[in-house]
Amino acid sequence: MSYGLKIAWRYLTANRAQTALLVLGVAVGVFVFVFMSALIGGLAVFLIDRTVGSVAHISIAPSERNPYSLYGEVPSVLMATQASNEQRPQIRGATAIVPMLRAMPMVTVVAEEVTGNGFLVKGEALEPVNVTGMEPDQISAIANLARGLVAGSTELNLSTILVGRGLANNLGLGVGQTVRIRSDRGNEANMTVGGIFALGIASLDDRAAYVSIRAAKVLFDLPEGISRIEIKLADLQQAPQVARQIAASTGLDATPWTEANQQLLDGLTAQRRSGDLIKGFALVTIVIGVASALLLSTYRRRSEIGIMRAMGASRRFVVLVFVAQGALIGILGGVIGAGLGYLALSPFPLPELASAGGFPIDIRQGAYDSAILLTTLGAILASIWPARSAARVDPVTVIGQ
Amino acid sequence: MSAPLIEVRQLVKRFDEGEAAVTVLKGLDLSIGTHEMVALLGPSGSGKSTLLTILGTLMQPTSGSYRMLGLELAGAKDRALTEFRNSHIGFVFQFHHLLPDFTALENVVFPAAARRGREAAADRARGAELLDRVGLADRMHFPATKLSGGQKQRVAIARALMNQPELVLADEPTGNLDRESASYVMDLITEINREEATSFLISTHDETIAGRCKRQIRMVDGQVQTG
Repeated sequence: MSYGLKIAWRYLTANRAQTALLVLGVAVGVFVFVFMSALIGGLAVFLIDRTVGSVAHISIAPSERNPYSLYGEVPSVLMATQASNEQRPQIRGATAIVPMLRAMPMVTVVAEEVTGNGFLVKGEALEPVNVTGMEPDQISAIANLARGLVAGSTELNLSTILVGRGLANNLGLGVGQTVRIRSDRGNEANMTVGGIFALGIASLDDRAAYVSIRAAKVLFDLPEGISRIEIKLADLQQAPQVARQIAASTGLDATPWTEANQQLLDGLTAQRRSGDLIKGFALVTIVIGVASALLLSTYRRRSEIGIMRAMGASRRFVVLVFVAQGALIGILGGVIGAGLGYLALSPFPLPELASAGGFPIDIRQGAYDSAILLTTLGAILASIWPARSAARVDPVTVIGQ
Repeated sequence: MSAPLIEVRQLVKRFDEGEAAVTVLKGLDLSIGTHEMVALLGPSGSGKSTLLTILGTLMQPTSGSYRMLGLELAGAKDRALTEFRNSHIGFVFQFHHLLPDFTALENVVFPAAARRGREAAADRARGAELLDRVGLADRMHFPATKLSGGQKQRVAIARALMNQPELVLADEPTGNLDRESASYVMDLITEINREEATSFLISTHDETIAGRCKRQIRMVDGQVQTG
């Protein structure tokens, strides 16, 4: 062990009650840091989960195919183009694209979908509906229908349909009942309500219906292509970058969830900054506490410092002793504070599992390592002033006392 | 007198405290050889402590020359003086000045450990040997605060010898001890001076203590009167 470190430890353990109080003070600051990190991070996870949890992180759709001039832009010529409506927008060759998407490192779910609009008809009642056709085994991969299921099951076959609770209420539908679906292509089919879900998002609960992709292909006259591909990522913050990669490699339109939720992101950024401010105050408190305690120690140990200097200890050695004390206080307080923070956060459920009105705290986002690191650095920084003050002690003055 | 260990020429020390300037050392000349045991006598205010402080490289003279081991120390930088002091000069103070949170052995080993940045086994062995020599082998691991006044001063002597210095400066080393302890400490210093190549400069008011030294230097009003 470094001799300076040994002396630092000896000084800290010589007055245990005082050191314990100091470390406790630092630990409380670290606890606040960890708790704020977990709270702000948890709130973000909770809000994003509630907002984005039932939608894709990236939605891939066919790019618009407008006519363009083969000669490029000619300044003297005014050209007018008309969007083509001769072909329905659809993704062809999905069988080649989907495996490539699945192989991308960040991608966790790739769901092919056929979508379209239509009406659900029950007797005289008629409700507009957005129909999504999906592979039956992926029915909960994008919107977690299984979690939001309130009646029936999520199993799909060619003649079953899953509807939102609002839609079911409007039409007076229950599980097992038959409903007629009429697509905007003019195709109709009778389907049985297999399940009713409530995701807490009005646009889905009141207007969405899910059928198998094979049924949707028939309803919307898309025997070959699909309407879109939806993707979920391991880290949804990576969506803009991954979307750009996909667009570049496939030539399709890839839209990240962030584009449609800019206000949410702005709100989360503001929230994170507020949290950073509070964490910054906690760190400043730690620095002031450590600096004042060490300055007091410097004053109390003036005569010992003088003796050390008289015995040939360099100013650098004296600085090392006091900086090492700061570092030890920082590490101890940091580890204890982070540990206490972890223990205090343990009883809280993860924000994804938190009930509405619950306390969305994310134990995974306690920023324990950065709390310990920043506290140690802060404590070292705080010790520099007292250390320099100690190194300036004149041995002649204190030996004479 | 043996070959000069220290040579002081025309040493002046003036303290400027506001408008009142006090000259404590007034062109002092002094030589001390290796293996010498010298008593420094003189009334209070004669400049004994100031001289010891300068010779110990803890303070710079205002002017004049101070050479030790052939090196000019007057005007040298703090870092060089600190290293020089650590290697070549030992101190014994009137009030022992041990580090209270350390054991006797740790106090003795300090000068060597501070130089190396670690406590080497060889240093601990030498520290133990020195404590044995001053009769404190059984108090080696006692905290400094648990030792008697005489024991503390013996630990201070062991500490002063740790780095095998050529010069030990002792400022009233027995001034705070009872007669028995004072006698023991002086016996110890005499023995070490006899057996090792260490010179001692002992500042004292006590003529008996001074009488045990081979040479006496008397200071009066910032200058050496006899010696």
